[in-house]
Amino acid sequence: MSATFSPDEPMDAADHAVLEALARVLDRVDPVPAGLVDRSLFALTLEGLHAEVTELRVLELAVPAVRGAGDRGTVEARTITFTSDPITVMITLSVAPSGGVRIDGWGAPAQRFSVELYRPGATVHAESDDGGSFVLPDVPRGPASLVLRPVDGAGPAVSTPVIEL
Amino acid sequence: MNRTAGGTTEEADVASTSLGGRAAAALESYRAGDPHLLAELVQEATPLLWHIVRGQGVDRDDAEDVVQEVWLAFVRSTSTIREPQALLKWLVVSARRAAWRTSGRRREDLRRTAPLPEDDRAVAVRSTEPPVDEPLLVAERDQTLWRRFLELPERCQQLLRFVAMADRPDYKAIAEVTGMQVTAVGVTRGRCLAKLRALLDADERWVEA
Repeated sequence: MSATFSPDEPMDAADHAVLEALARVLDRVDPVPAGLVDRSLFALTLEGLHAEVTELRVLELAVPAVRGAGDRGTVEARTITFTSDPITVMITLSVAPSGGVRIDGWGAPAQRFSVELYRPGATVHAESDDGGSFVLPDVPRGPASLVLRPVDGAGPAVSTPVIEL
Repeated sequence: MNRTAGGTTEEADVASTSLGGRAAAALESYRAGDPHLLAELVQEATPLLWHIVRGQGVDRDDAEDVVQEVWLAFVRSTSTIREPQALLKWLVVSARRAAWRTSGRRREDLRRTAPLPEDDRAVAVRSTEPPVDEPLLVAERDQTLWRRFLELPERCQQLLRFVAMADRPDYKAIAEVTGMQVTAVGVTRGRCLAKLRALLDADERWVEA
């Protein structure tokens, strides 16, 4: 019969070794999903933005009719319009040559915007021209949220809801 | 940083080296507008929360949502928790509650879909849960440990998952949420660890490896 171990004794080195081995085994059989930390941080970033910027709502979502089969040159694109008085943002998503997503955007009323795209693990910055147009030529697919801030500080900063690129 | 508590060296030491202490510092600086420490905390404590939630029987997809919910609730919690150790306890308790709610909803869903036995596809979709991947455990000793661990009562598995993943200086907080004992001589082994040790001790593959 094997030794018994009293629950009331202080933990010894072998106890610690067992717990360490168990931690290692748990990480092997049930690993934390890759990207969970990034997605958690993304959620926290959006939460932080919420307090600071006005969230736009989706006004219109247009997906062009699928062209005839075999027309492989057709680029799948969709256009989404967001609004929150007084700012309207329209973006067109298309496939970048790399397989990522190209975002052509336009903010109105026309002015220079500082543009930030938040996604799990990274933030991309861009700036619009004086007419409010901007391009993010190649963004990885996945959830993302755009924030537009008027460069001259006139008007509120706005964010889009999370969109699936 | 401006610490208000004129605590002893020992307290200050616990504050900086323990997970609970880092959690407190992270929340404080996040509220002051600096998210850096929070990002480090999320990095460090997500594995702990993951294993707590998974230990409650939540599947991997749902567990991802639960962990994110807990972090959101953490930054939204406006209650001022003074004691750094209390923050770790808060995280652990929140993770458990959120996991209970989720597995409760799951059971409810299954109960509702039960009258449609011919539609077993729904159940099949649910069971994408990968089985315990023993082949991943190359070392025989690790396999033995895992098998013996799975023989423990569910509550012991939950508790040991947590204790194994948690940070050492936080035994006080661990003790509070798990019912482990912290005495003057240290942390006692506790019933669950004693059981696991006995199972392993009786297993020649563990003893001789």
